[in-house]
Amino acid sequence: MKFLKEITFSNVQFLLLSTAAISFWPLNFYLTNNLKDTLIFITPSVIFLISYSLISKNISISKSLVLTLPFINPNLLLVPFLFYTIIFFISKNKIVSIFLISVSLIVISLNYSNFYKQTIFPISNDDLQNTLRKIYLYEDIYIARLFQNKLSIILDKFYFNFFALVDINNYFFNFHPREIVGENQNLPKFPFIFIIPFLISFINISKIKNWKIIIAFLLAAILNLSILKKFDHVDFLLFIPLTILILHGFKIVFSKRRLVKIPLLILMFLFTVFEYLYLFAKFQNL
Amino acid sequence: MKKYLLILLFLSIFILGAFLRLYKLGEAPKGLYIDEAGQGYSAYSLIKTGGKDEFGKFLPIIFRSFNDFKTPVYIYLIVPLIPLFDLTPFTVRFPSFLFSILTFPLLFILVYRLSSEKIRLPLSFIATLLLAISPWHILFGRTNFECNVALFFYLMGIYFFYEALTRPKLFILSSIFFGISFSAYHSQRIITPLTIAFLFYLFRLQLLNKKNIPILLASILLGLLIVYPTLSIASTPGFLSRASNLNIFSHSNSLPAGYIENLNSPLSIFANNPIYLTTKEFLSLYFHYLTPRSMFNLGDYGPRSSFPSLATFFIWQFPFYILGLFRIFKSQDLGSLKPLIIFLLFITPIPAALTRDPYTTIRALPLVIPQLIIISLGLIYTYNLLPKIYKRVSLIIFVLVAIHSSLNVYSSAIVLNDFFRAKEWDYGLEEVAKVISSHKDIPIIVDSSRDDYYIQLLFFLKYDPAKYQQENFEVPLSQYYTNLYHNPTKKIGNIITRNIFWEKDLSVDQILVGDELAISKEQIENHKLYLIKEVFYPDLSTAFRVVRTNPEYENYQKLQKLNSQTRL
Repeated sequence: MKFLKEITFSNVQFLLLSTAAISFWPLNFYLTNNLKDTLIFITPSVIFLISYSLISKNISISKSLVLTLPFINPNLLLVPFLFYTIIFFISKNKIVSIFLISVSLIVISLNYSNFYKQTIFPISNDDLQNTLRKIYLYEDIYIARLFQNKLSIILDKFYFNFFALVDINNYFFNFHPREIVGENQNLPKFPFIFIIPFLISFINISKIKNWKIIIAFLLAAILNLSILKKFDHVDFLLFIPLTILILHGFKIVFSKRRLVKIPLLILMFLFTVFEYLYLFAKFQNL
Repeated sequence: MKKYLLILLFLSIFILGAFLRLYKLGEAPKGLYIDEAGQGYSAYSLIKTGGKDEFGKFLPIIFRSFNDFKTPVYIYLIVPLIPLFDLTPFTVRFPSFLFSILTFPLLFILVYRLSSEKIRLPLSFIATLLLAISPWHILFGRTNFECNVALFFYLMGIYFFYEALTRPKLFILSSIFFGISFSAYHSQRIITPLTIAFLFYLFRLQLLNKKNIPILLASILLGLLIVYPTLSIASTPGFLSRASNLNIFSHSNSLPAGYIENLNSPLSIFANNPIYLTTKEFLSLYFHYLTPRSMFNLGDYGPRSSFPSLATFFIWQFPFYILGLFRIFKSQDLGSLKPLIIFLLFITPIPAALTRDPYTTIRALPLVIPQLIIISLGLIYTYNLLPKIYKRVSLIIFVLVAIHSSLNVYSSAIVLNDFFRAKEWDYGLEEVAKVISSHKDIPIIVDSSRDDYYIQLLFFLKYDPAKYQQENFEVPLSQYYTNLYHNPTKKIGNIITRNIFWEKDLSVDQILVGDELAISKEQIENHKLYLIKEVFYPDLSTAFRVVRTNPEYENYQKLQKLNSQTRL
């Protein structure tokens, strides 16, 4: 595919590292869950991969593939709408964007009632009681109402999810040292040492082809996931955009001087091997 | 006119920051934590016994306290305040407050001095305002923590270093302040030498100029002289106790994080390799200080180093942090500020990341400076991108947001913190001290099975340190820094702090003091104890109970039991 040629060198090291980056999260997911779940949750990522590849070939109609996401996983209902809204502001072809936004709104209206139950918007009685309890602690009722209200209950949950999804420790250290207790498997997603190419790539993101599409998709996905009660497993949607960033980071590392490149590569290879062996050891022990 | 407006603006920021730290200083947080009382009483002992701490050591280099060997600077700063304000929670928290507000003008002139002309004025003002309302900085400006004082001296060292590049005699001052910061807190023992090395490398050509060498050598010697007392005990168990207990490389008491137990396979050599696991652990802890989740959502996990419902930064600052990060790495027009901020961003989390605790804001306090400056850069960058028509509106919105943030600090730091965290701050002991001080003629046992309350009792009773030194022995003074023995029993006149031994203690006419677990309602009922006072937390749960034993009833019960056994 063309976009891979952008970042692929005829270099065995690069291919090995890329394979390690691409395989880790799906393998971990499969070993922790089952094949059926893996296929269900990986499919939206594949859709985005196809869409992105075609966009890179200037087949812009491929953006419409994102519309299929809610039909594969109903929890991704808002992704198309958010994605096309962001694209509207950066794209030159506003008419296509308006059309796609309209279609996505129709999709939302057809499925919203089921989706709503999976979100953070329903407020439980316990949450309300906690808020009321806090209100009585304030001397001034206006300050109390400013900080303790129904909106603050929803926002607290939203921020918790949102910042968990933008937490780099989530992807490279399975949320360690602040793992999410309860409804999250805290899966390691990439070998921890790949945080270096990831951060390098992030700072140089504007050098990736169609970087705006990646950012738009990431934002749309993160916002959608943030309003879910439980985003674990569904966040597999972020797999492809994050992998693209890491691969681009490899490209930058490979372009550095030998004095910088060689120690970095040694570290990356060494710790990647350890990470995979740790993964197998952990599942062998279960 | 413009100059007066700028001065007025700075004063407004200063007053806002001072108010957020001074309001109910000493009263909020409710209670007085064990470390605060320990430092206060050590200072009290120094002043009352001619320079000896509560163990009788003359002018300690580091303070033994509870075998955690506290750094000395903060304690010596409390000493002159005791004759002014007496020994109160306000007194022991005042140095934090003072050095916290002194950091505002210092940060202002440091940022102004280092930034390029284009942005120096707005950047200085915004960074200072953000520091004034920073939850992270406010918390340590309202409580007795050494890190705040250490940060001030550390920044002074940096500021005078840059000033000395044009006026070399100021290297002396830089050296003095760096020396004091080194002794002021544990984290500075790592970042101060690294900072000096960095600044030296950055300006090596200028520093190694023949004209500067004599003053440079004099400054280095002076700095070494200041840190010499600390370095002289650097190899003692006392000095190393904190580091050896907390560091991630020490596996004597616990396995490395991620260790797979009962792994009987050849893979164990790799999977449980300590270098691999420790490297991973260190990097996870390190990046945890830089990740937005810690900064804007979770905050510090410790109940005393965070406010309820408030992280270390405000959520609205997040997008500006991301923008600021791009700005700091990509821009070429930031002057001398850029290398320093990037250095501070990467170096200041290191001491904290070497310890097991996740996101300890006390150990990483210097990190607040580069992160606030990065957020400020993001704000300026956003403002410059706005069309002219929106600029005035954005300023109004910014002021409103700053007011909302200040109210948020009040909400969390005063209202919610006092209600939900009173227990963590050992609330209730002042009241206990008042009650037991009126019972001087009867023995009193204060249960210490879960916590050492003796130091707070010493503090609130203002017990004579000379008497305390005579009544209690810990270790010989020659072993002050080397012997880590801690005597669990303390005598304060008629008060003894130790575990309650129910079999023995109930048969003696005395007062028992303990928390709800130590003296439960069932025990009061079963042993017919007299409840003298019950102290409650703000959430109305029991903090402490003060009871008097009933030896007549107890002896009668024992006799009854003996008789029934004899009949059988």
